[in-house]
Amino acid sequence: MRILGLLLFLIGIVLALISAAKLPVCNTNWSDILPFYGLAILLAFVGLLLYRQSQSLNNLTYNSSTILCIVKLLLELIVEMDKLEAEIFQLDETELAQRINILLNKYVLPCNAARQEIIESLGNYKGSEVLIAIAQGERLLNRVWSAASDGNTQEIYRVYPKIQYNFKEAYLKCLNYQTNLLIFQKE
Amino acid sequence: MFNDKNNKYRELTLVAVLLGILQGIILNIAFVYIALKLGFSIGGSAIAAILGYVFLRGILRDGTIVENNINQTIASGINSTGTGVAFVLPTLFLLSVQNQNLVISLWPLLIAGIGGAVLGVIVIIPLRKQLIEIERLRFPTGVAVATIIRSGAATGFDKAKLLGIGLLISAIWKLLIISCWLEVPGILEGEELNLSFGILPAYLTPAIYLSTLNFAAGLLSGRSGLPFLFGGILAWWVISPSSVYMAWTPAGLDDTALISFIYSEMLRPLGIGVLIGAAFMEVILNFSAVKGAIHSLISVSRNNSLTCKDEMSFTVLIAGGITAILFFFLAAWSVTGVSIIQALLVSVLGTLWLGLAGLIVAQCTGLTDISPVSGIALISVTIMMFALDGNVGAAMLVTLVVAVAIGQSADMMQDLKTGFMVGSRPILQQIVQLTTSWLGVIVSCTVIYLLWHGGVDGQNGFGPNTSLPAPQATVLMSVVEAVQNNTVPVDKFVLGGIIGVLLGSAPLAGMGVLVGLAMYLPLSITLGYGLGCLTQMFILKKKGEAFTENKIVPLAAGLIIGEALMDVGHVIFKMFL
Repeated sequence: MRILGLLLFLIGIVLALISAAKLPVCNTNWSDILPFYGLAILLAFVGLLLYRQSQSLNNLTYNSSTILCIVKLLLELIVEMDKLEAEIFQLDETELAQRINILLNKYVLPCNAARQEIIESLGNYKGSEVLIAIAQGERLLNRVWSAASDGNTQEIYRVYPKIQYNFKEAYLKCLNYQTNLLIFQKE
Repeated sequence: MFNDKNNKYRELTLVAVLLGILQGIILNIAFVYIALKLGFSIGGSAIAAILGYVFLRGILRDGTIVENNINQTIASGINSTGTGVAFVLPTLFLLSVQNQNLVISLWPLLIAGIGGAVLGVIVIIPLRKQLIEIERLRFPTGVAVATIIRSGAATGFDKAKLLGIGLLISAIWKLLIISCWLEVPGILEGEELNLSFGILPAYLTPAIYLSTLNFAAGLLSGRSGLPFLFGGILAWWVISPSSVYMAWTPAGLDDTALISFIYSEMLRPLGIGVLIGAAFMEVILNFSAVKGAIHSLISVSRNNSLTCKDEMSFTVLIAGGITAILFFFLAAWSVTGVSIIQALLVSVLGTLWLGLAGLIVAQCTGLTDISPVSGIALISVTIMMFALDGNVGAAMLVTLVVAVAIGQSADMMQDLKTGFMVGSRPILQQIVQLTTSWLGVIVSCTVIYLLWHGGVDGQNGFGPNTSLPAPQATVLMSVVEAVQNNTVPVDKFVLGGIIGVLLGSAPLAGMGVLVGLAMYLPLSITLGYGLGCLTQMFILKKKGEAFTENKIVPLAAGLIIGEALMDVGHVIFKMFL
């Protein structure tokens, strides 16, 4: 159903674009193959409906596993951040930047790579809330990296709790939504 | 252990603001002149970031990464307003020669331009979270600038090395291309490699644009940029041959005329329609997320949680927006022949349109680094000429507002992306852009006014047959003439718009906008970009996400900066020698 929908959508779009390219004949505003264009648009629309329908069925079946992975990643990130907090001022700027790079590469990047799945699983509004909380944390991690490179400890003290707050917020939201998703699927 | 330099982290400082304003004004004057001379302008972000790095960190020795981001935000903001003004204002001067009834007064233009600069920033601020944090658009120039700013840090040495390698490769390649040393007639001409092999017909436009900047933009986008390649192939390898095969093109045209006909009469207007339809649909589909972002801006204004004070208050945005619309209204009302009702209609309709146009341009630059300003200007002139009973002066004034505003929207997003990557506070970037970018309108309007009146008998200082031919103005004049003669391809805009709505509803983010943009551009650009996307996808598969982020991104940033700097150097060389 999903592939059929996609195929109909693509064929419809291609045919609609080809027919739309024809110029109107003299003294008219529209081309003479407008009905054909209309049919192609209808075909694309039907394809899109089929695709969307199969996609939402798919999401209900599989998506709790994606969110579970994100929950795990965020939990590990929070644990790592707590560890880093304990030793942060024993590190020099290069070591701190390396540790931040590890956090970004190992935990934040995979979360961002799964953003489409997060949106598909949780819906636009809830998915966006989770992604925004992760992004806020990421921006502040980048700020700590910059402050470390500029040798400013005060800023690192100031910003670090905010990063933890943002990632914890993302984690709690994800956990909450994942629980709701599981209950919904059971029902 | 840290050697703590300072308690307070330097970010929004007087020196960063003054340096940004100074650089912005100089870049604005230079690039407005270049736009009149050569017909295109250049982004100043990379130059401002490099100079900021030299001055703040090299000379003053206590500059910080985020402070340089503020300097670069101000400089590029002031510079980018000049691009919009240089696109529209010269057209008005040239039209005044043809049409004696068209009286040009500088004040309404200045007021309108300032309103546009403020509106462009205000309409895009609520979309920061959507475009940067949720959709995570790449904004290739923004990424390149962030790599420059961070490269000075001791911990960013590896990336700085890759940035340098990319810059060197790109600069050498650009030098070889512009010096024509590699040129082989029929195979490699200009910056395009012909792929027809003497077999493929010309209407397939089988050529690839050999720009490292274009390739690097694709490298940064990867899979998310593939619809752009799909759109280009669809346009030139499906629609174009179908039209020729079904004899929808005039018979007897030579290759160049045939390509020009297909491009200007069929693909380009259809592409503009698709762009607008897709952007409109994305606004509707993402309404809940945008509503969420606005809601968070409102809550930031009200509470004092840990995350507050990083976003501009919604109240300030509303107040700024109303003031700018008032500027817009006053400027429109002051034009001869415009009634109070028309001025009101224009300011409301114009603001809604520039909001949508700002989103289109921000998405296009976010995904590909290419901005469809001329297409947006075409639609602006068309809508406003209809709304204002063919009043050219008023329609051009609105187009000026839209051109300045969309430039600001795209620039603000690029800078916010840079800020995200270096950890700047968005609110500070937004404040400096809002409070300084309007300076660019005054500078560029003054420069154009002076250059025009520097001609024979106090006018004709630029235009055809002068040392400053203003090619963009000539293009926009032909658009105005098309609207006046009722030859605007409205059918293509409407049919393309409906297709855009469907593509905008497709599950792949940015699909409609990218397909529309690809149809609006020559295939050679799309192929070069697509090659970059495919290369990144291959590397990602072989080496993983972290390698791509840490090695490919700085290399691509270097490729972008190298070509940009060589372009600036080449322009200066051409102008003075």
